[in-house]
Amino acid sequence: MTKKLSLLQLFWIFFKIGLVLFGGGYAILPFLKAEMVDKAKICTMEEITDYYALSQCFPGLVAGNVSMLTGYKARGIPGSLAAVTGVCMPAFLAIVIVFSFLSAIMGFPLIENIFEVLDLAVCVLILLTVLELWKFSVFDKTTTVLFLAALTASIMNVSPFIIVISAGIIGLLRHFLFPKAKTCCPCTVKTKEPEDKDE
Amino acid sequence: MNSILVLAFEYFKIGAVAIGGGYTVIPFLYYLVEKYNWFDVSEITQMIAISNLTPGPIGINMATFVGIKVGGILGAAFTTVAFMVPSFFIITILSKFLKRNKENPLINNIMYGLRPAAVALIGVAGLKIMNATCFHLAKFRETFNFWDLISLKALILLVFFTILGLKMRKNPMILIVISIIVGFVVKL
Repeated sequence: MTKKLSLLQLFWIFFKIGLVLFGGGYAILPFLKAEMVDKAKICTMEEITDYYALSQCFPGLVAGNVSMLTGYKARGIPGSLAAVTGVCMPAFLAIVIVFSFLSAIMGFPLIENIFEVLDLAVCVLILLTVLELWKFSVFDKTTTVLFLAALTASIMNVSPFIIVISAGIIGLLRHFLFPKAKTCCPCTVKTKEPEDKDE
Repeated sequence: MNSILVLAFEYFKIGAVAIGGGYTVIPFLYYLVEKYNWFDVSEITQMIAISNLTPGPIGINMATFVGIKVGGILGAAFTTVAFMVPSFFIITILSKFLKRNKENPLINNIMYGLRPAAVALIGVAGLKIMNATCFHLAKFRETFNFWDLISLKALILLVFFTILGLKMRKNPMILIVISIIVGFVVKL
């Protein structure tokens, strides 16, 4: 029972979502629900929540991945392309526009000062993100050891690529060496959050 | 042109390993700063702040920003596309197999290993900014004056922003707007 959406319509829907999406991909869920579940009736809320969970488990941006999966549901691979282009386009254009202004205002002491204060806010935002991720990332002995190892490696300037890939390999080894070890998926913990967010 | 292609390739790699949204890209930006001389550390926080204020996924904002710095509009286009390509392929291939099966133990185990590493990397990026804004070790080495080491104003603001940030977790933009207002009034 899905209505057909043209690729252009799909692009336009996601362009609008990209336009109102501020401060990261986590806010995308309520918009997706309004556009794709309620209005276009392409997918159900359960599917969207599943997509959202999956998106966090795969490389790339959460907002981008969710859009690809939803677009794929609507129109296959071309739909996936249309959706992701749509959701990314406003972000791209916004920076292109801001950048052209930026060079004109930089250099003034007041602006420099504002950016210095902004550094502090950004620092807080990053540390709060750590706090948020901490709950379902570092929760037992193994993850604590992994966290400390990665922390030390990062402070010692080891390439983040090496750190991330080794951590992934350790997870892979765990799968084959300890098949009985518990695997609580962080994504399933996380999926509950967006729902109480959109009230 | 050469540096655009190098950057696009770097961003392609980042797109393939950065799991869990825009903030995971930040440690890689520090890596880029160290490896190439395209932009400096202070510009990273500038990028993050502006990305929070502009519409769209933060990762795309930052990729566009880095790209435009290195190679203008063309650089920005190459960077964002290169960034999205790995996840596009991975999602297209894997979505078919995993749609009905999100409790896949293999994926869960890989994530089990990846998450703490990602958290550590993001944490170190945050500490680096804190270190650069609140502590001035280089100046302290010259003067041996304690108040040159620690910027008290910055520390107080940091605590203030943390309290604010904890109060409105879901809306980082408000924090950015407030800190712009503070930046107007308070001289750091």
